[in-house]
Amino acid sequence: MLDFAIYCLTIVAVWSVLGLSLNIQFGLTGLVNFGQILPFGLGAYAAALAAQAGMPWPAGAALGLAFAVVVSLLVLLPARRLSQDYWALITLGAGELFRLTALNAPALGGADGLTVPRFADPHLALACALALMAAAWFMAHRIARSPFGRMLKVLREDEVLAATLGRNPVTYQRTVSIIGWAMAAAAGVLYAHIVGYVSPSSFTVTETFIVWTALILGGPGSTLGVVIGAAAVQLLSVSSRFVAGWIDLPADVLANGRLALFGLVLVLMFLFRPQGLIPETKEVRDAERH
Amino acid sequence: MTDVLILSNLTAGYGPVTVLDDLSLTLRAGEVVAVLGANGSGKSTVLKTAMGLTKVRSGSITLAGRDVTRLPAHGRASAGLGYVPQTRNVFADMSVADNLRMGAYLRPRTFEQEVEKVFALFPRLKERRRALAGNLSGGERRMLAIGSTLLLNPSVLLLDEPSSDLAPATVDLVFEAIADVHKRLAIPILLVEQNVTKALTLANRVCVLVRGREALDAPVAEVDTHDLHALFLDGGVRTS
Repeated sequence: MLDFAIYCLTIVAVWSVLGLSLNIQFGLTGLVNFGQILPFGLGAYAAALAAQAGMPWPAGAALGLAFAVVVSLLVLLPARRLSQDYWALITLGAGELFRLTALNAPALGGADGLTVPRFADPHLALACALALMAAAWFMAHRIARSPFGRMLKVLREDEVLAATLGRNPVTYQRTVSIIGWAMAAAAGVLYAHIVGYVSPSSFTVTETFIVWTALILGGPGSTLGVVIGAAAVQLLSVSSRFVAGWIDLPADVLANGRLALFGLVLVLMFLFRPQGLIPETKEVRDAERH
Repeated sequence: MTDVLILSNLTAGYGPVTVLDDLSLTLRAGEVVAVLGANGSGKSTVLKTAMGLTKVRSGSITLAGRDVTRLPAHGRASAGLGYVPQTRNVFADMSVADNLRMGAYLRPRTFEQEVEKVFALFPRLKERRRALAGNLSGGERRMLAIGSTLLLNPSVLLLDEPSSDLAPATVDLVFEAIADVHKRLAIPILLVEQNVTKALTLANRVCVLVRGREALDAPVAEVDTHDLHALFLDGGVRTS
Protein backbone atom coordinates (compact mmCIF):
# COMPACT_ATOMS: atom_id res chain seq x y z
CA MET A 1 0.00 0.00 0.00
CA LEU A 2 2.87 2.36 0.84
CA ASP A 3 4.48 1.60 -2.52
CA PHE A 4 1.20 2.41 -4.21
CA ALA A 5 0.96 5.73 -2.36
CA ILE A 6 4.55 6.54 -3.39
CA TYR A 7 3.70 5.69 -7.00
CA CYS A 8 0.61 7.92 -6.86
CA LEU A 9 2.60 10.83 -5.46
CA THR A 10 5.27 10.34 -8.12
CA ILE A 11 2.70 10.44 -10.92
CA VAL A 12 1.02 13.50 -9.37
CA ALA A 13 4.40 15.28 -9.34
CA VAL A 14 5.05 14.38 -13.01
CA TRP A 15 1.60 15.57 -14.06
CA SER A 16 2.06 18.74 -12.05
CA VAL A 17 5.10 19.52 -14.19
CA LEU A 18 3.01 18.88 -17.31
CA GLY A 19 0.27 21.13 -15.90
CA LEU A 20 2.77 23.88 -15.08
CA SER A 21 4.21 23.64 -18.59
CA LEU A 22 0.73 24.22 -20.04
CA ASN A 23 0.01 26.94 -17.52
CA ILE A 24 2.84 29.20 -18.62
CA GLN A 25 1.54 28.89 -22.19
CA PHE A 26 -2.20 29.23 -21.60
CA GLY A 27 -2.59 30.53 -18.06
CA LEU A 28 0.01 33.27 -18.44
CA THR A 29 0.13 33.92 -22.18
CA GLY A 30 -3.28 32.81 -23.46
CA LEU A 31 -1.84 30.38 -26.03
CA VAL A 32 -4.22 27.49 -26.59
CA ASN A 33 -2.06 24.40 -26.97
CA PHE A 34 -4.12 21.28 -27.64
CA GLY A 35 -1.00 19.20 -28.25
CA GLN A 36 0.86 19.52 -24.97
CA ILE A 37 1.18 15.76 -24.84
CA LEU A 38 3.55 15.98 -27.84
CA PRO A 39 6.60 17.34 -25.96
CA PHE A 40 5.80 14.96 -23.10
CA GLY A 41 5.80 12.08 -25.58
CA LEU A 42 8.97 13.33 -27.26
CA GLY A 43 10.73 13.29 -23.89
CA ALA A 44 9.45 9.79 -23.10
CA TYR A 45 10.43 8.38 -26.50
CA ALA A 46 13.84 10.08 -26.37
CA ALA A 47 14.48 8.39 -23.02
CA ALA A 48 13.41 5.06 -24.51
CA LEU A 49 15.50 5.43 -27.68
CA ALA A 50 18.58 6.45 -25.68
CA ALA A 51 18.10 3.45 -23.40
CA GLN A 52 17.68 1.12 -26.40
CA ALA A 53 20.94 2.47 -27.80
CA GLY A 54 22.66 1.69 -24.52
CA MET A 55 23.14 5.33 -23.59
CA PRO A 56 22.87 6.54 -19.99
CA TRP A 57 19.70 8.38 -18.87
CA PRO A 58 21.21 11.90 -18.98
CA ALA A 59 21.78 11.37 -22.72
CA GLY A 60 18.09 10.50 -23.08
CA ALA A 61 17.13 13.57 -21.10
CA ALA A 62 19.34 15.83 -23.24
CA LEU A 63 17.92 14.22 -26.38
CA GLY A 64 14.36 14.74 -25.12
CA LEU A 65 14.94 18.43 -24.42
CA ALA A 66 16.62 18.91 -27.79
CA PHE A 67 13.74 17.15 -29.60
CA ALA A 68 11.20 19.31 -27.78
CA VAL A 69 12.95 22.57 -28.63
CA VAL A 70 13.49 21.68 -32.30
CA VAL A 71 9.97 20.32 -32.80
CA SER A 72 8.39 23.29 -31.00
CA LEU A 73 10.18 25.64 -33.40
CA LEU A 74 9.01 23.59 -36.39
CA VAL A 75 5.41 23.34 -35.18
CA LEU A 76 5.21 27.00 -34.25
CA LEU A 77 6.75 28.21 -37.49
CA PRO A 78 3.42 28.27 -39.38
CA ALA A 79 1.62 29.44 -36.22
CA ARG A 80 3.56 32.71 -36.43
CA ARG A 81 1.44 33.99 -39.26
CA LEU A 82 -1.86 32.71 -37.95
CA SER A 83 -4.20 33.81 -35.24
CA GLN A 84 -4.38 31.92 -31.98
CA ASP A 85 -7.46 29.94 -33.09
CA TYR A 86 -5.20 28.19 -35.58
CA TRP A 87 -2.57 27.73 -32.89
CA ALA A 88 -4.95 25.29 -31.17
CA LEU A 89 -5.51 23.36 -34.40
CA ILE A 90 -1.83 23.21 -35.34
CA THR A 91 -0.78 21.88 -31.93
CA LEU A 92 -3.66 19.39 -31.90
CA GLY A 93 -2.62 18.14 -35.35
CA ALA A 94 1.06 17.98 -34.42
CA GLY A 95 0.29 15.86 -31.34
CA GLU A 96 -1.72 13.41 -33.42
CA LEU A 97 0.95 13.29 -36.14
CA PHE A 98 3.48 12.29 -33.51
CA ARG A 99 1.22 9.59 -32.06
CA LEU A 100 0.43 8.14 -35.48
CA THR A 101 4.11 8.20 -36.44
CA ALA A 102 5.02 6.35 -33.25
CA LEU A 103 2.23 3.87 -33.94
CA ASN A 104 3.45 3.09 -37.44
CA ALA A 105 7.24 3.42 -37.21
CA PRO A 106 8.95 0.09 -36.42
CA ALA A 107 11.98 1.98 -35.04
CA LEU A 108 9.69 3.45 -32.39
CA GLY A 109 8.23 0.06 -31.50
CA GLY A 110 4.89 0.59 -33.23
CA ALA A 111 1.82 -0.23 -31.15
CA ASP A 112 3.92 -2.42 -28.83
CA GLY A 113 6.03 0.53 -27.78
CA LEU A 114 9.47 0.42 -26.23
CA THR A 115 10.74 -0.62 -22.83
CA VAL A 116 12.77 1.72 -20.67
CA PRO A 117 14.85 0.81 -17.58
CA ARG A 118 12.77 1.66 -14.52
CA PHE A 119 13.97 3.33 -11.37
CA ALA A 120 15.24 0.52 -9.12
CA ASP A 121 14.01 2.35 -6.04
CA PRO A 122 10.52 3.93 -5.98
CA HIS A 123 11.74 6.39 -3.34
CA LEU A 124 14.38 7.64 -5.76
CA ALA A 125 11.72 8.00 -8.46
CA LEU A 126 9.58 10.03 -6.06
CA ALA A 127 12.54 12.19 -5.06
CA CYS A 128 13.39 12.88 -8.72
CA ALA A 129 9.76 13.68 -9.55
CA LEU A 130 9.44 16.02 -6.57
CA ALA A 131 12.75 17.69 -7.46
CA LEU A 132 11.57 18.23 -11.05
CA MET A 133 8.25 19.57 -9.78
CA ALA A 134 10.03 21.97 -7.44
CA ALA A 135 12.27 23.16 -10.28
CA ALA A 136 9.26 23.63 -12.60
CA TRP A 137 7.33 25.42 -9.84
CA PHE A 138 10.28 27.72 -9.15
CA MET A 139 10.69 28.49 -12.84
CA ALA A 140 6.95 29.08 -13.41
CA HIS A 141 6.79 31.30 -10.33
CA ARG A 142 9.84 33.32 -11.39
CA ILE A 143 8.49 33.75 -14.90
CA ALA A 144 5.09 34.91 -13.61
CA ARG A 145 6.71 37.54 -11.38
CA SER A 146 9.32 38.77 -13.86
CA PRO A 147 8.92 41.64 -16.34
CA PHE A 148 8.86 38.93 -19.03
CA GLY A 149 5.90 37.28 -17.27
CA ARG A 150 4.06 40.56 -16.91
CA MET A 151 4.51 41.08 -20.63
CA LEU A 152 3.06 37.60 -21.25
CA LYS A 153 -0.02 38.58 -19.24
CA VAL A 154 -0.28 41.80 -21.22
CA LEU A 155 -0.22 39.80 -24.47
CA ARG A 156 -2.91 37.52 -23.05
CA GLU A 157 -5.10 40.54 -22.30
CA ASP A 158 -4.63 42.30 -25.64
CA GLU A 159 -2.10 41.18 -28.22
CA VAL A 160 -3.03 43.89 -30.75
CA LEU A 161 -2.70 46.74 -28.28
CA ALA A 162 0.67 45.38 -27.13
CA ALA A 163 1.83 45.26 -30.77
CA THR A 164 0.70 48.83 -31.44
CA LEU A 165 2.81 49.91 -28.45
CA GLY A 166 5.88 48.35 -30.04
CA ARG A 167 5.99 44.78 -28.70
CA ASN A 168 6.57 41.84 -30.99
CA PRO A 169 4.08 39.25 -29.67
CA VAL A 170 5.70 36.42 -31.65
CA THR A 171 9.03 36.73 -29.83
CA TYR A 172 7.37 36.37 -26.44
CA GLN A 173 5.05 33.58 -27.56
CA ARG A 174 7.89 31.61 -29.10
CA THR A 175 10.10 31.94 -26.02
CA VAL A 176 7.38 30.85 -23.62
CA SER A 177 6.43 27.94 -25.87
CA ILE A 178 10.01 26.67 -25.97
CA ILE A 179 10.24 26.84 -22.16
CA GLY A 180 6.85 25.11 -21.79
CA TRP A 181 7.74 22.36 -24.26
CA ALA A 182 11.14 21.75 -22.66
CA MET A 183 9.46 21.48 -19.25
CA ALA A 184 6.97 18.92 -20.58
CA ALA A 185 9.78 16.96 -22.26
CA ALA A 186 11.65 16.73 -18.94
CA ALA A 187 8.46 15.37 -17.37
CA GLY A 188 8.21 12.87 -20.24
CA VAL A 189 11.76 11.59 -19.71
CA LEU A 190 11.03 11.01 -16.03
CA TYR A 191 7.66 9.42 -16.79
CA ALA A 192 9.31 6.89 -19.12
CA HIS A 193 11.76 5.85 -16.40
CA ILE A 194 8.96 5.62 -13.82
CA VAL A 195 6.55 3.42 -15.78
CA GLY A 196 9.32 1.56 -17.66
CA TYR A 197 7.46 1.52 -20.93
CA VAL A 198 6.34 3.94 -23.65
CA SER A 199 3.66 3.32 -26.26
CA PRO A 200 1.53 5.55 -28.49
CA SER A 201 -1.54 4.83 -26.35
CA SER A 202 0.02 6.87 -23.51
CA PHE A 203 0.16 10.02 -25.63
CA THR A 204 -3.32 10.48 -27.05
CA VAL A 205 -5.39 13.65 -27.33
CA THR A 206 -7.24 12.43 -24.25
CA GLU A 207 -4.09 12.86 -22.16
CA THR A 208 -3.79 16.46 -23.36
CA PHE A 209 -7.35 17.12 -22.27
CA ILE A 210 -6.66 15.60 -18.87
CA VAL A 211 -3.87 18.17 -18.46
CA TRP A 212 -6.36 20.86 -19.51
CA THR A 213 -8.85 19.56 -16.93
CA ALA A 214 -6.18 19.87 -14.23
CA LEU A 215 -5.42 23.42 -15.36
CA ILE A 216 -9.03 24.57 -15.49
CA LEU A 217 -9.89 22.85 -12.22
CA GLY A 218 -6.92 24.37 -10.39
CA GLY A 219 -7.05 27.84 -11.91
CA PRO A 220 -5.43 29.05 -15.14
CA GLY A 221 -2.56 31.38 -14.33
CA SER A 222 -2.20 30.09 -10.76
CA THR A 223 0.93 28.00 -10.10
CA LEU A 224 -0.41 26.49 -6.88
CA GLY A 225 -3.83 25.94 -8.47
CA VAL A 226 -2.37 23.92 -11.33
CA VAL A 227 -0.50 21.59 -8.96
CA ILE A 228 -3.66 21.08 -6.89
CA GLY A 229 -5.63 20.49 -10.10
CA ALA A 230 -3.09 17.91 -11.32
CA ALA A 231 -3.20 16.15 -7.95
CA ALA A 232 -7.01 16.11 -7.91
CA VAL A 233 -7.29 14.77 -11.45
CA GLN A 234 -4.65 12.07 -11.01
CA LEU A 235 -5.93 10.94 -7.61
CA LEU A 236 -9.49 10.86 -8.99
CA SER A 237 -8.20 8.78 -11.87
CA VAL A 238 -6.36 6.34 -9.60
CA SER A 239 -9.13 6.04 -7.01
CA SER A 240 -11.71 5.24 -9.70
CA ARG A 241 -9.96 1.87 -10.02
CA PHE A 242 -10.90 0.99 -6.45
CA VAL A 243 -14.48 2.06 -7.04
CA ALA A 244 -14.56 -0.21 -10.08
CA GLY A 245 -13.26 -3.07 -7.91
CA TRP A 246 -16.04 -2.63 -5.37
CA ILE A 247 -18.91 -2.42 -7.81
CA ASP A 248 -17.39 -4.77 -10.37
CA LEU A 249 -17.33 -2.47 -13.44
CA PRO A 250 -15.78 -3.63 -16.74
CA ALA A 251 -12.51 -1.84 -17.60
CA ASP A 252 -13.86 -0.06 -20.70
CA VAL A 253 -16.88 1.29 -18.84
CA LEU A 254 -14.55 2.50 -16.11
CA ALA A 255 -12.22 4.25 -18.59
CA ASN A 256 -15.09 5.99 -20.36
CA GLY A 257 -16.82 6.82 -17.08
CA ARG A 258 -13.64 8.48 -15.88
CA LEU A 259 -13.48 10.65 -18.99
CA ALA A 260 -17.16 11.53 -18.61
CA LEU A 261 -16.40 12.56 -15.04
CA PHE A 262 -13.58 14.84 -16.21
CA GLY A 263 -15.95 16.31 -18.81
CA LEU A 264 -18.48 16.97 -16.07
CA VAL A 265 -15.80 18.62 -13.94
CA LEU A 266 -14.93 20.92 -16.88
CA VAL A 267 -18.57 21.87 -17.50
CA LEU A 268 -19.18 22.56 -13.80
CA MET A 269 -16.01 24.65 -13.52
CA PHE A 270 -16.89 26.72 -16.59
CA LEU A 271 -20.41 27.27 -15.23
CA PHE A 272 -19.71 28.00 -11.60
CA ARG A 273 -16.04 28.78 -11.09
CA PRO A 274 -14.28 29.69 -14.35
CA GLN A 275 -11.37 31.20 -12.42
CA GLY A 276 -10.56 27.74 -10.95
CA LEU A 277 -10.26 26.50 -7.36
CA ILE A 278 -7.26 28.76 -6.65
CA PRO A 279 -7.74 31.85 -8.83
CA GLU A 280 -4.80 33.77 -10.22
CA THR A 281 -3.95 36.73 -8.01
CA LYS A 282 -4.16 39.99 -9.91
CA GLU A 283 -1.62 42.39 -8.59
CA VAL A 284 -1.83 46.08 -9.29
CA ARG A 285 1.75 47.24 -9.33
CA ASP A 286 2.47 50.68 -8.14
CA ALA A 287 4.96 52.21 -10.50
CA GLU A 288 6.05 54.66 -7.81
CA ARG A 289 7.57 51.82 -5.84
CA HIS A 290 10.26 50.94 -8.32
CA MET B 1 4.77 71.29 -46.14
CA THR B 2 6.55 67.94 -45.94
CA ASP B 3 4.51 64.82 -46.51
CA VAL B 4 4.78 62.69 -43.36
CA LEU B 5 2.40 59.82 -44.00
CA ILE B 6 1.36 58.82 -47.51
CA LEU B 7 -1.28 56.18 -48.16
CA SER B 8 -1.04 55.50 -51.84
CA ASN B 9 -3.70 53.64 -53.89
CA LEU B 10 -4.50 51.35 -50.97
CA THR B 11 -6.85 48.42 -51.40
CA ALA B 12 -7.20 46.62 -48.10
CA GLY B 13 -9.61 44.75 -45.84
CA TYR B 14 -10.11 41.81 -43.55
CA GLY B 15 -9.71 38.26 -44.87
CA PRO B 16 -11.58 38.05 -48.18
CA VAL B 17 -13.53 41.28 -47.53
CA THR B 18 -12.24 44.44 -49.21
CA VAL B 19 -13.03 47.62 -47.27
CA LEU B 20 -10.72 50.27 -48.69
CA ASP B 21 -10.80 50.62 -52.45
CA ASP B 22 -7.88 52.38 -54.13
CA LEU B 23 -7.63 54.98 -51.37
CA SER B 24 -4.98 57.69 -51.41
CA LEU B 25 -4.42 60.09 -48.55
CA THR B 26 -1.53 62.30 -47.49
CA LEU B 27 -0.84 63.73 -44.04
CA ARG B 28 1.60 66.64 -44.01
CA ALA B 29 3.75 68.02 -41.21
CA GLY B 30 1.77 70.01 -38.65
CA GLU B 31 -1.59 69.02 -40.12
CA VAL B 32 -4.71 67.49 -38.58
CA VAL B 33 -6.64 65.55 -41.20
CA ALA B 34 -10.13 64.41 -40.24
CA VAL B 35 -11.35 61.21 -41.89
CA LEU B 36 -15.13 61.35 -41.96
CA GLY B 37 -17.86 59.14 -43.37
CA ALA B 38 -21.01 57.24 -42.59
CA ASN B 39 -20.94 54.04 -40.53
CA GLY B 40 -19.29 51.24 -42.44
CA SER B 41 -17.53 53.59 -44.86
CA GLY B 42 -14.12 52.28 -43.79
CA LYS B 43 -12.90 55.17 -41.61
CA SER B 44 -11.41 53.04 -38.84
CA THR B 45 -9.98 50.67 -41.43
CA VAL B 46 -7.85 53.55 -42.75
CA LEU B 47 -6.08 53.79 -39.40
CA LYS B 48 -5.89 50.01 -38.91
CA THR B 49 -4.37 49.68 -42.37
CA ALA B 50 -1.85 52.44 -41.67
CA MET B 51 -0.93 50.52 -38.51
CA GLY B 52 -0.63 47.12 -40.24
CA LEU B 53 -3.69 45.47 -38.71
CA THR B 54 -5.45 44.64 -41.98
CA LYS B 55 -4.59 42.76 -45.13
CA VAL B 56 -3.22 45.07 -47.81
CA ARG B 57 -3.93 43.81 -51.33
CA SER B 58 -2.31 46.63 -53.25
CA GLY B 59 -0.90 50.09 -52.73
CA SER B 60 1.72 51.39 -50.35
CA ILE B 61 2.19 53.20 -47.05
CA THR B 62 5.11 55.57 -46.66
CA LEU B 63 6.11 57.09 -43.33
CA ALA B 64 8.66 59.90 -43.43
CA GLY B 65 10.00 58.63 -46.75
CA ARG B 66 10.23 55.01 -45.61
CA ASP B 67 8.03 52.30 -47.12
CA VAL B 68 6.34 50.57 -44.16
CA THR B 69 3.74 48.58 -46.14
CA ARG B 70 5.23 45.22 -45.17
CA LEU B 71 6.17 46.07 -41.59
CA PRO B 72 4.19 44.37 -38.78
CA ALA B 73 2.33 46.56 -36.27
CA HIS B 74 5.12 46.55 -33.68
CA GLY B 75 7.62 47.58 -36.37
CA ARG B 76 5.41 50.52 -37.38
CA ALA B 77 5.19 51.61 -33.75
CA SER B 78 9.00 51.66 -33.66
CA ALA B 79 9.05 53.54 -36.98
CA GLY B 80 6.95 56.34 -35.49
CA LEU B 81 3.25 55.56 -35.88
CA GLY B 82 1.27 56.13 -32.70
CA TYR B 83 -2.14 54.46 -32.92
CA VAL B 84 -4.89 54.98 -30.35
CA PRO B 85 -7.68 52.44 -30.96
CA GLN B 86 -11.34 53.34 -30.41
CA THR B 87 -11.96 50.55 -27.93
CA ARG B 88 -9.68 48.29 -25.91
CA ASN B 89 -7.08 51.02 -25.82
CA VAL B 90 -5.75 50.54 -22.27
CA PHE B 91 -4.80 47.50 -20.17
CA ALA B 92 -7.72 47.51 -17.75
CA ASP B 93 -6.03 45.28 -15.15
CA MET B 94 -2.96 47.51 -14.85
CA SER B 95 -2.49 50.80 -13.04
CA VAL B 96 -2.37 54.11 -14.91
CA ALA B 97 1.37 54.37 -14.23
CA ASP B 98 2.00 50.86 -15.59
CA ASN B 99 -0.06 51.57 -18.70
CA LEU B 100 2.15 54.59 -19.32
CA ARG B 101 5.21 52.43 -18.69
CA MET B 102 3.95 50.08 -21.41
CA GLY B 103 3.98 52.99 -23.84
CA ALA B 104 7.58 53.77 -22.91
CA TYR B 105 8.70 50.20 -23.63
CA LEU B 106 10.84 51.25 -26.57
CA ARG B 107 12.66 53.91 -24.51
CA PRO B 108 12.54 52.76 -20.87
CA ARG B 109 15.53 54.84 -19.71
CA THR B 110 13.89 58.17 -20.41
CA PHE B 111 10.53 57.15 -18.90
CA GLU B 112 10.73 59.35 -15.81
CA GLN B 113 11.29 62.54 -17.85
CA GLU B 114 8.93 61.61 -20.64
CA VAL B 115 6.06 60.70 -18.32
CA GLU B 116 6.23 64.16 -16.75
CA LYS B 117 5.57 65.64 -20.21
CA VAL B 118 2.48 63.45 -20.49
CA PHE B 119 1.37 64.49 -16.99
CA ALA B 120 1.79 68.13 -18.04
CA LEU B 121 -0.60 67.50 -20.93
CA PHE B 122 -3.02 65.40 -18.87
CA PRO B 123 -2.75 66.51 -15.21
CA ARG B 124 -5.67 64.24 -14.31
CA LEU B 125 -3.53 61.19 -15.11
CA LYS B 126 -0.96 62.27 -12.53
CA GLU B 127 -3.66 62.44 -9.87
CA ARG B 128 -4.97 59.03 -10.88
CA ARG B 129 -1.62 57.34 -11.57
CA ARG B 130 -2.11 54.67 -8.90
CA ALA B 131 -5.66 53.84 -10.00
CA LEU B 132 -6.55 50.76 -11.97
CA ALA B 133 -7.06 51.74 -15.63
CA GLY B 134 -10.29 49.71 -15.67
CA ASN B 135 -11.72 52.03 -12.98
CA LEU B 136 -11.11 55.26 -14.90
CA SER B 137 -13.93 57.35 -16.35
CA GLY B 138 -14.41 57.30 -20.12
CA GLY B 139 -12.59 60.60 -20.59
CA GLU B 140 -9.68 59.65 -18.32
CA ARG B 141 -9.37 56.36 -20.11
CA ARG B 142 -9.17 58.11 -23.48
CA MET B 143 -6.50 60.46 -22.13
CA LEU B 144 -4.52 57.52 -20.76
CA ALA B 145 -4.66 55.80 -24.15
CA ILE B 146 -3.37 58.94 -25.86
CA GLY B 147 -0.75 59.47 -23.13
CA SER B 148 0.58 55.90 -23.43
CA THR B 149 0.87 56.31 -27.19
CA LEU B 150 2.66 59.65 -26.84
CA LEU B 151 5.33 57.90 -24.76
CA LEU B 152 6.29 56.05 -27.93
CA ASN B 153 7.41 59.49 -29.14
CA PRO B 154 5.49 59.02 -32.39
CA SER B 155 6.01 61.17 -35.47
CA VAL B 156 2.32 60.72 -36.42
CA LEU B 157 -0.74 60.22 -34.21
CA LEU B 158 -3.60 58.06 -35.48
CA LEU B 159 -6.72 58.67 -33.37
CA ASP B 160 -9.75 56.44 -33.83
CA GLU B 161 -13.00 58.14 -32.74
CA PRO B 162 -11.78 59.79 -29.54
CA SER B 163 -15.32 61.06 -28.86
CA SER B 164 -17.14 57.72 -28.99
CA ASP B 165 -19.16 56.67 -25.94
CA LEU B 166 -18.37 59.90 -24.09
CA ALA B 167 -20.74 62.49 -22.57
CA PRO B 168 -20.79 65.81 -24.52
CA ALA B 169 -18.93 67.69 -21.76
CA THR B 170 -16.25 64.99 -21.70
CA VAL B 171 -15.95 65.13 -25.49
CA ASP B 172 -15.13 68.84 -25.15
CA LEU B 173 -12.43 68.02 -22.59
CA VAL B 174 -10.89 65.28 -24.72
CA PHE B 175 -10.85 67.49 -27.82
CA GLU B 176 -9.26 70.33 -25.86
CA ALA B 177 -6.60 67.88 -24.73
CA ILE B 178 -6.01 66.70 -28.31
CA ALA B 179 -5.76 70.31 -29.51
CA ASP B 180 -3.24 70.94 -26.74
CA VAL B 181 -1.21 67.88 -27.75
CA HIS B 182 -1.20 69.07 -31.35
CA LYS B 183 -0.21 72.62 -30.39
CA ARG B 184 2.52 71.74 -27.90
CA LEU B 185 4.08 68.78 -29.69
CA ALA B 186 3.39 69.94 -33.27
CA ILE B 187 2.55 66.36 -34.12
CA PRO B 188 0.51 65.63 -37.26
CA ILE B 189 -2.74 63.82 -36.51
CA LEU B 190 -4.92 61.59 -38.64
CA LEU B 191 -8.26 61.73 -36.87
CA VAL B 192 -11.17 59.39 -37.55
CA GLU B 193 -14.38 60.80 -36.10
CA GLN B 194 -18.15 60.43 -36.11
CA ASN B 195 -18.65 63.79 -34.45
CA VAL B 196 -18.27 65.97 -37.53
CA THR B 197 -18.69 69.30 -35.75
CA LYS B 198 -15.94 68.49 -33.27
CA ALA B 199 -13.65 67.10 -35.95
CA LEU B 200 -14.01 70.28 -38.03
CA THR B 201 -12.97 72.45 -35.08
CA LEU B 202 -9.66 70.61 -34.92
CA ALA B 203 -8.88 69.67 -38.50
CA ASN B 204 -7.07 71.58 -41.23
CA ARG B 205 -8.24 69.22 -43.92
CA VAL B 206 -11.11 66.78 -44.37
CA CYS B 207 -11.21 63.48 -46.17
CA VAL B 208 -14.63 61.90 -46.63
CA LEU B 209 -14.98 58.22 -47.35
CA VAL B 210 -17.92 56.62 -49.13
CA ARG B 211 -17.89 52.84 -49.23
CA GLY B 212 -14.12 52.71 -48.85
CA ARG B 213 -13.38 55.24 -51.58
CA GLU B 214 -12.33 58.82 -51.18
CA ALA B 215 -15.26 61.11 -52.06
CA LEU B 216 -13.78 64.39 -50.91
CA ASP B 217 -10.37 65.69 -49.85
CA ALA B 218 -10.32 69.42 -49.16
CA PRO B 219 -9.17 72.05 -46.67
CA VAL B 220 -11.77 72.64 -43.93
CA ALA B 221 -12.26 76.26 -45.04
CA GLU B 222 -13.40 75.08 -48.46
CA VAL B 223 -15.81 72.45 -47.21
CA ASP B 224 -19.50 73.17 -47.39
CA THR B 225 -21.40 71.30 -44.66
CA HIS B 226 -24.24 70.72 -47.15
CA ASP B 227 -21.80 68.80 -49.31
CA LEU B 228 -20.84 66.73 -46.29
CA HIS B 229 -24.48 65.92 -45.55
CA ALA B 230 -25.00 64.89 -49.15
CA LEU B 231 -21.98 62.62 -49.00
CA PHE B 232 -23.09 61.08 -45.71
CA LEU B 233 -26.76 60.63 -46.61
CA ASP B 234 -26.84 59.56 -50.22
CA GLY B 235 -23.47 57.93 -50.34
CA GLY B 236 -21.99 60.55 -52.59
CA VAL B 237 -24.50 60.20 -55.42
CA ARG B 238 -25.43 63.78 -56.14
CA THR B 239 -29.07 64.21 -57.04
CA SER B 240 -28.95 67.83 -58.11
